[in-house]
Amino acid sequence: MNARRLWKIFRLNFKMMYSRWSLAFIAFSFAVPFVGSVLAIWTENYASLFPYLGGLALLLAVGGGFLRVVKSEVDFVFSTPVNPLVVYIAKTAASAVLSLFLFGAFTIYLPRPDVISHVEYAASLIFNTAFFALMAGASSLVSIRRHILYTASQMAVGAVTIVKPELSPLYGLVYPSPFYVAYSGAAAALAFLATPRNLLKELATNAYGVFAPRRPAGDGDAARVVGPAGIGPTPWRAVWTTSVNGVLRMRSGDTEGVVVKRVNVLKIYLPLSAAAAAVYYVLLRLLPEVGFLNASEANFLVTLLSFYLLWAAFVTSAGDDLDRERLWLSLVVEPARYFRLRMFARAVIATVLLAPWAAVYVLMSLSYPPAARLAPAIAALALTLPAASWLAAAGWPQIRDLNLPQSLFTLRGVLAAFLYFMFVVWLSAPYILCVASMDIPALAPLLLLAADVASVASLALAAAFFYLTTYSPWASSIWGWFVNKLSENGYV
Amino acid sequence: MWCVVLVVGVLVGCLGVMSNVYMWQLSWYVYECIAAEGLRRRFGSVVALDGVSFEVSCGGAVALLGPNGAGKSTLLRILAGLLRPDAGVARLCGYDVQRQPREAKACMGYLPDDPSPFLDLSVRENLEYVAALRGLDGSAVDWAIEALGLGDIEDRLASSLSRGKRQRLALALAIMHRPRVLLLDEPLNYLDIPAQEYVIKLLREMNAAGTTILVSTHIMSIAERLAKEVLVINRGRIVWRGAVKELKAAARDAGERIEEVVARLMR
Repeated sequence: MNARRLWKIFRLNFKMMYSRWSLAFIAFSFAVPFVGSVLAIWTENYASLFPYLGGLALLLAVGGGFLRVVKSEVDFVFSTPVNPLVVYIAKTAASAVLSLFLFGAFTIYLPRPDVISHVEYAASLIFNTAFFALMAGASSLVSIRRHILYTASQMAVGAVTIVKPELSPLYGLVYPSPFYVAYSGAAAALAFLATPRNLLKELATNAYGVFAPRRPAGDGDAARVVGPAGIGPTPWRAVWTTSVNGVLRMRSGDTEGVVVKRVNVLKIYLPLSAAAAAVYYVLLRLLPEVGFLNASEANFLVTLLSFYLLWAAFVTSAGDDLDRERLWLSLVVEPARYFRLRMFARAVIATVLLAPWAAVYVLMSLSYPPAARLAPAIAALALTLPAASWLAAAGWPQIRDLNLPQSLFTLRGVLAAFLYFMFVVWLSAPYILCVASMDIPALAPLLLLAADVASVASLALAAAFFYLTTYSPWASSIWGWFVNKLSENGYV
Repeated sequence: MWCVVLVVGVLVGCLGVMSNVYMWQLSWYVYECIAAEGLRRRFGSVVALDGVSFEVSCGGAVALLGPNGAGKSTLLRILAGLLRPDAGVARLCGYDVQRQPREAKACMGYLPDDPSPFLDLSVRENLEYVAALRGLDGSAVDWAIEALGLGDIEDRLASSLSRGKRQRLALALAIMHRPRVLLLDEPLNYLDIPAQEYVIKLLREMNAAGTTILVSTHIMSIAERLAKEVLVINRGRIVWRGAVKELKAAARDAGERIEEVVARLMR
């Protein structure tokens, strides 16, 4: 394959991945690293960039699954003679542009003494970007076990960058040296070895087999997981039963199809949520000083990061199950009433799953008072995201055959991501104001008052949104619009 | 002595040329362009294909008829190299789809059921992308745009197109390399009547020019107009094969509509 063809494949994959709207969003997100970078240069405290870099690495690890195969590729790429590995590399390179940009935005302005250090910096930037892009690419295709392993390895790099930056390959972005070039190069090489070659080879001759849903081994009759007695007799009972027994899709082996199973989401995710909350609490109690940060800085950053990661995990999974609604939409007599009940059920489930985090922030506030300000923010998340995530996903076309996603960076998606981001910044404002009040005692009463007002306003707006989408007379109009939108996109 | 060497040399040369010509002819006349031998495929406890065997001569046009769930789409996916059979062999243009996928896919175009083009690319970019994947030049893109009448929407994003126009784009993606074999799964879905007529005319022209067509459809009138032969498939087995005119004759003799005859065959 010649270079011109490869360039064209890369260019068009880049265009598919980043619409002009997503580029505008990325340009906006540039502001955050830019401010961090300017502050670091101004104070000559370059090490202050490591928590940002670590946080960015953690966010890339959590949200790195966007290199998934889409239905169009199964239809029109794997039916051509092209080697799927070529397309995978082109997509990975296109996805790497985002992380290259973000890592670069934090570190490119830092002063460096000579040309060699600039070369070392450039090499570190490319290798670190390659590491995250290749790991994200691999983790989005492989089995659930390898997915956890790959995501954990990226998260480990992020965590090490915050706790002990010298041990991280990202260290070379701030303090370039031949050692960190070699270190990040080795990490990139390892990530390249993680490329799922067997799966890519399989895609050339068995793409439908790889992505087709299948029943788990030994599960003779998956349909009986929810018995008829559980479904009836009231509408609420039916909606609650089908909501709490969600469909879990996971790849157990690399090339064996996707296991589809109904599971009780509370049994699966509540222990995970509680365990993650416990890890956060124990980590901050055991490690009062993280790396170069003092105790209060560590508390501030780790607590804020935990909330943002929780938000990122919740946002990325909240809209995922909309594509399984086709059956219910075809069956229910009153779709608007169905969605009102469905949102109520989803809000109850979200509240239960997020409750450990509200509890742990309150517990944490005994030693670190600002953490309590995140508990109302958790309640606001539970009241808004279940309905907001589905409304934001209304424009996605329904794919009937394989349940593969279609488009990832539409204008609607980018706007939704922007609004989600502004929303989480707004929700964390009371916490940040409370921390600021501790650092600026002269303004403390004013800042605490502002924090109280922001908390109350957040909760009031979230409650109003919940009322609007479940109980209010306007809910029928909202869900009527939603059903029309889904119908246009092939759901009914 | 040198005369003997010369004669032997000429003889050997002639044999070589003849064998090459024979092999070339073999590839065009002896090989069936589409061949299925004992294809089996299960999905859990459901048998989708149960030993399907058939062949379509190069230049042929065959309609695949069957009720929902009969195995039509599964069969086309196996032939297109998108699904591995549990047993059996599928060949396109003489190439084993599983063992020689690159060669088989180079000679084949596939239109899936409910196709989904790349929604974030324009019509022209969709075609340019698949052209790059297939190693085609810009003339193939221009030809496909003209052939499917996409000129007035070539700069529009696929996401902004109606389902009918998306279907036309998907068809353009399947035929842009003017394949020797065309596998079509419900090609006229979502198309309005003028577009249906346009596409039927185009496919008939391609067939007349030598493209082998295997088309899956629910609609008998489409099968009649696109194909010379019919394969009726039910519960993963081919239950009837014959010419369209045989079906018409059977319908005439029984005083029934052709759909009633096909429905009886499917039972």
